[in-house]
Amino acid sequence: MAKFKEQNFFEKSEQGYELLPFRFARINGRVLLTNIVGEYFFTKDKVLKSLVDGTLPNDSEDYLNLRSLHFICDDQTQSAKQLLGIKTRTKLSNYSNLTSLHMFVISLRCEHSCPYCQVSRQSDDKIAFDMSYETASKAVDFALSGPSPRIKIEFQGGEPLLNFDTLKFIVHDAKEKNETIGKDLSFVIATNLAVITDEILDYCKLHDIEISTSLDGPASLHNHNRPRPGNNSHELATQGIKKVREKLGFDKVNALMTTTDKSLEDPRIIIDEYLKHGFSGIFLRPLSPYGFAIKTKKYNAYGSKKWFEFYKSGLEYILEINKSGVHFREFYSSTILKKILTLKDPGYVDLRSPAGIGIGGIVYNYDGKIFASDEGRMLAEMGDNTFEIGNLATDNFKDVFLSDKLLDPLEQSMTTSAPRCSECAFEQYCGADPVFHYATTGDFLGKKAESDFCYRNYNTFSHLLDAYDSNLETRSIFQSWIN
Amino acid sequence: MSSSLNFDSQCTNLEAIKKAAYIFSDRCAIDVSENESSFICKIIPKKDSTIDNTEDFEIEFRNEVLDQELRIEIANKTDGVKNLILAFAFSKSGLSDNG
Repeated sequence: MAKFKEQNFFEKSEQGYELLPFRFARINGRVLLTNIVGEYFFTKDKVLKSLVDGTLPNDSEDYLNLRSLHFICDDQTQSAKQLLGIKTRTKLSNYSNLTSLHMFVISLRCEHSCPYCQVSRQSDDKIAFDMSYETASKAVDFALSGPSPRIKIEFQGGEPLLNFDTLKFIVHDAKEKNETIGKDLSFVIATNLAVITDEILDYCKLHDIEISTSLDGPASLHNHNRPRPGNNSHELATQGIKKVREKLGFDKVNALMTTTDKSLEDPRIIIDEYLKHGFSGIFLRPLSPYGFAIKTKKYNAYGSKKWFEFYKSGLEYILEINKSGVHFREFYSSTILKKILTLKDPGYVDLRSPAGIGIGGIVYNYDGKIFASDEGRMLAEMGDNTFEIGNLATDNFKDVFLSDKLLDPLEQSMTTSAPRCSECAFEQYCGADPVFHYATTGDFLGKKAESDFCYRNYNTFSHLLDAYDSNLETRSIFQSWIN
Repeated sequence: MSSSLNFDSQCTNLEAIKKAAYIFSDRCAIDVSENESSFICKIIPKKDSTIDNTEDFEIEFRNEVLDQELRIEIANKTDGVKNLILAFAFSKSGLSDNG
């Protein structure tokens, strides 16, 4: 990109200007404008009114900025419309590949009994809840038949390592079948690490398999959230993290935390725990309203307002850590900032419109049922099969991706036509979450004024943009997170 | 608390009132009716409503109606160019009739 604009860019337009599509919101006494591709501009109320009235002086700084960011165009900048079209196309280009994330639920068994667990768990002697080789082979065929050039197979449970034989079968089967197809194939195991062994790690090293685990905080909090026989979940998880790093490499394991009501007390001790174990960031994610989280009333133990206070407090602490010279990210923030500040969509399933269900990630259950998302599978465990979109025994890729069971929730939840979303200044950064809204309100669209999803994201976007635009040091830290 | 707000129907957009009412639907129901010169908004708070001060709420609601009118004005002024941009974006995707 050229460092300087051409001289004629700064020449006054004699023929007035044309408004390009944009939206606005009020944040802490300022007005935020966002355009059709997510460019943003903070200004004053009187500038907004003048802009819309067509009376913004064409020699003002606001005029030049708004023209440069494609909120207006004039006879000097008629190419703005084409540029916005190209940027729109670029932002949407990933959708044509459909999903690259394929989640294989190879066992519902688990030796933990977490009260917020989002799937029904079965005792570890019930092999009836394991995926068979036959089902696994069909799931591999299905995953490899899509258009995406990249395929990530994520092993989930329950605890997937309790069905390690099927895991090995899938890795072997997928690699063998992919020899003629040639996709970029990768594997990750989502495991609590309690049953990991040297044999498993040797296998992971041989096949370049990554590990994703759970770490909810220091031992007292983690073990409170994740009960198991021996009350030693934290000890096993942290020992496992160490082992994985020794065997596979430092960056081959990442961790996720779940925010329970007990976590809200102090985000700093959770962040300190992640720092202590050498992680480069943390995802301060809220609890989801599914499965046992609802059954045990854990979900209603706190609302999105309490979560947002927890998030803000945690983010403030993380910024202090960065200011002291330690590079440490909050991953939800960095995902959102990437969406705001770049044209690269980080592919986060919850912040996509059309929604990420099916087309951003798909789930093959142990019994061959296909779900549009992991959360959809959790609803099915509660007796609601709305997001069961097919079965590996009877349906092929085309059947599933063209089915009304997938297309209806995608179409009905799109933010561009949703009440309130369609005029929201953050629509370009946000997403549709039909499973969340269906689970909480009974329809795919939801009631935005009452939506926890809407409250959480609206406030997070406002907070991040205001912080980015108001403080140079914060801006510099945020930029380092997305680069 | 149950109160009413009047808007001059000659210079207020009914769509803006409805959009504003939707935004506040977590706190109250707003029943909109019309007489010869006004739109009448009857505000019915929810049982667990956080509307403590009627006057503050009315100011908030009136300002939201103004913002919604401005949003409608922007949308009306930019609808044509928005369609043009989207048509260009999808022109070579094979999804449009002319693509």
